[in-house]
Parts: sequence; C-alpha cells; structure tokens
Amino acid sequence: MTSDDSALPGDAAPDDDLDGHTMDELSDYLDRGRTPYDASIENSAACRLALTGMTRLQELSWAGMTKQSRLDPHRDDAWISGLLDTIKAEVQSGRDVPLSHPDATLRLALTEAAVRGMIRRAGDTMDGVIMGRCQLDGDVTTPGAPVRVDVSASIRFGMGVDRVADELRERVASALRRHTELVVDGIDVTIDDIYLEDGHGHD
Amino acid sequence: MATTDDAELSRSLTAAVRAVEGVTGVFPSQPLLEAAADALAVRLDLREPDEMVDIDRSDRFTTVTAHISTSASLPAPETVRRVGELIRDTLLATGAKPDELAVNVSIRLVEDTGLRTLAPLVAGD
Amino acid sequence: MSDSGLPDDPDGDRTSDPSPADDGAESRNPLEEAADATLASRAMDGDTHAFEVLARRHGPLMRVYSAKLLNSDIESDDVVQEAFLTGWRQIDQLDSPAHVRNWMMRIVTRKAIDRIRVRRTHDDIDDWDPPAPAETSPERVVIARLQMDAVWDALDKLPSDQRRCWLLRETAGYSYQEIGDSLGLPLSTVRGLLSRARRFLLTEMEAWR
Repeated sequence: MTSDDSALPGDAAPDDDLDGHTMDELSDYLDRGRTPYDASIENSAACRLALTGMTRLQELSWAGMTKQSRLDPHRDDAWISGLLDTIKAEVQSGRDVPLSHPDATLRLALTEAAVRGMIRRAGDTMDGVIMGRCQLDGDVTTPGAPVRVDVSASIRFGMGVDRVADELRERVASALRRHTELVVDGIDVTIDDIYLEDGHGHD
Repeated sequence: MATTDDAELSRSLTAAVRAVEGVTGVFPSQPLLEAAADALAVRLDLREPDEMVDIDRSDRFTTVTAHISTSASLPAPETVRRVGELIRDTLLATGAKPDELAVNVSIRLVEDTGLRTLAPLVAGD
Repeated sequence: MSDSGLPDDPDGDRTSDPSPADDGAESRNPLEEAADATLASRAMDGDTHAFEVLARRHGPLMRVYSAKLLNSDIESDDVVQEAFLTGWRQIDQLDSPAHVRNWMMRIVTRKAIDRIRVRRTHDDIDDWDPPAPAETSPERVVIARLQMDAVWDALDKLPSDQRRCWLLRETAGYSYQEIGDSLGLPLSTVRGLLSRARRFLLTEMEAWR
C-alpha cells in the first residue's frame, strides 16, 4: 500500500521488460523479504513497479478474503453450534479428583477438567482479568495429598499486578474450598501479559 | 450391552438425576468413539439423549456410572452426594445387593448459573 | 440443543465496569478480548469456551477460504467444521499457541484438499470451473466494487489448479514444496501455475486502476 503513482504499465510487464529479471525471480525475492539486498532489482524501476504490484496483490487477496468473511455475521452460526455440541461432549476429562462419601459403594469425583474450569471461571469473572494456563501439580487422585495450583493471567493495562494477583489467589482458593476436598499447598499466580482496553490485537 | 429393562432404568435414572437440586446437566458416560469419521461424529447423534446413565452388569456385579454438570451456586460435593445416594437408593429398591453394587458419579463441569457466588469484583481502577 | 450441550453464554451475567464502549452490548464475553495465544493455551487445557472464541474469531475467514478452494459455499461449512473438530482433538500438537490461526488454516487446507480428491475419484469430472458470470466488465467492476473485492472475485476466473496454488501460497502461506506435496504436483508445475496465476491477477488488477 505504497504510493499510488507507482502503477504498473497497463499490460503487466512481460518478463523481458524487467531489466533481465523474471517475475518468478521477483516473487522469490519478495518471499525472502527482499533480502539479501539485490541492487540490480532494487535499482530497476520496472522491477520495483512489479514488486509493488505483487505486494499490493497479496494485500488485496488477504483483504478481500477478510472482507468477504465479514459480510454476514450470522453466516457461521450453524456450523459453529454443531461444532460446539460435539466438542463439549468430548472434553478430555483428565484425572479424577475424588470427593469422599461414607458409603464405599459410592465413588464420587470431579474431573480434573471441571476443577480447571472452575479455577478459570474464578479469574475470568474478575474485571480486567483473562485467565491463561491452569495446572494442578501433585497427586490430585489421592485424598489429602498436597496440591499446588499454577495459573497465569493477563490483566488490563493500569491494574495493580500485586493486588490482582492477591485477589485472584483468594478467589481460586475460595472456589476450591467450596467445591473440592483438595488440600491446596499453594497457588502460584503469574501475570504474564498486560492488555489494552480494546485490543486482542496481538495475534 | 444393556437389556431393555436396563434401558428403561437408565432413562428413569437420567430423568431423576437431572431433577436433583444443583444438577445442570447429564452427559454421556462413555467417550465418543474417536475412530468415527469426523463428519459422522458431528452429524450423527450417537446415543439416545435420554439414556445418559450407564448401567453395566457382569458376574452379578452392577456398576452404574453418571457424568453430570453442577451449578456453582451449590457446593459441588453436596450435589454429587445427593446424586450418588439417589442412584444407590434406586438400585437397592430394584433388588440390587449393596455388596454387589458400585455407583460412580463424576462432575465434569461446575458452571455458573447466573448467580455470582464468589467474592465481589476487584474495585475498578 | 442436545442434552450434552452446555449453556451457550455462561458469561452473560457479567455486568462489571460499564463503560461507554459497552453500550448496547449487554453481555460481553471477556474472552473475546483475549489474544490468540491465551485462547489456544486454554483450549489445550480443555477449555471449550476458549476454543469457541477462536472458532468465532477465525472460522469465518477459514470458511471463505475453503469455499474458494472448493468452489463450493455449501461444502465449505462441512470442511471448516471438520477442521475445527480436528483442531480441537489435536490441539496438543499445536507447537506455538500464538500461531493457532495459521495452524488451523493448514488443517482447513488439508480437509479441503481431501474433498477435492474424493470428488475426483467419485465424480470423475474435471473440476474446471465455468467462467465467472457476466457483470465482470472492467467499467462495472471499478464502479461497483472495491479493489479487494475485485481481486477476490477475479480468483474465480482462474482455472482451479491455479486458484488453489494461489490460495495456498498467498493466504495459507504454504511454501512451493508444501503446495506440491499437498496437491500432488511436481515443483516445476507449482511454479508454472503460480506464475500464470500471478500474471493473470496482476493484469486484472491493472484493469481496475
């Protein structure tokens, strides 16, 4: 998207107008990020024009596809809901985290996935917090065995890291006390990213 | 493979478990066949939605398995105990012997159901 | 909704910190602001909500892309759904969570190419496309459309093999070798097809200036 006056000649230069270079060469050169610097290409107006055209074409291909995909916001609802029905039935449950009962006939448990889910929710329901990694370290399958929780989160720009980490830790602990019988040895919170109010842009 | 009677029992247990306070859903208790073609797995509903509680009988020993989701507004251990006891009592009432019975109940999801159950939010900055 | 389905929007109760930007959007999913890397690593932990956000964020683009590869809008729904299902099942094979979009794009590509192969063996028809419908005279295009629409539409005028090579190269970021492997074509053929596609599209692009 450079200067508009750098238009190609109307007949899209055949190779022999490219000061001895071919379109294929130029395409490869472009793919390499125009390195190593090739003076005979960069000093040729025809080559520069062709490169500009190719770059523009790449941009337009991507832009056209993006625009097309946004034409009808509800166009994708059907296949997405079909997808979700399937994957939700297929969550990898992980280990079983037992819940006690005096009657040995009953074997009651939370799946590890359920525990991780509640930990994430404990953080996601905090304003300005988006949870990331979530791990349970230790033998969660043995009642009474000490367990450590390891979570990461990104927080909104301007929030106090220590204060958020403390509150997050407390909320995770409270959820685990309420819904599990895990003996929690410690909750490690890593704030690994700061995001701006409106942007998931960094992809 | 469940008999017709067990299919009937599974249906009534599924309905009863769904009605327990704090239960928000009952899931298939066996994993989907990974081998199934992707497209088929998406398209076909591989199981009867009303028979989610699995009943397995072998050598006169009966194992009943239920996978559920619960509401975060109630402590999960309480909910799962109620479900386990309900299933046990139902099976005993149909003639199962306590020492020939196992009841497995797993919570696969604890979900928010509109109530905020945790500490208040961090004050805005 | 089947019994195994969970509520679609468990975050609907989020009412925190109303700001002017939130006006009108009464239930916002906080995950929608999360970076791809965050969502992908949560999906690796088994978080279906995170995966859903990824599907909503990138699915439409993948669907449009596969529709172009397949030349079929209807089949593209199946392909993109299958691809995301595969992505979910194989998410532990994702090396770099930040590159989840590119990774998904490759799965979509594989699924679409599988379809094309099946078509070939079963239908035994050369899937050369009919020429694009009328209304493509340069004057009309230049008036009616932005350039980006025009490039996208111009792809329809390419023979299928050229179009596929172009899409794999320019939108999915495949190397020449990868294109050859995927489509079962010798490297020299890939080069030739891309070169012709490029020349044609450049000419088309010039026509709209």
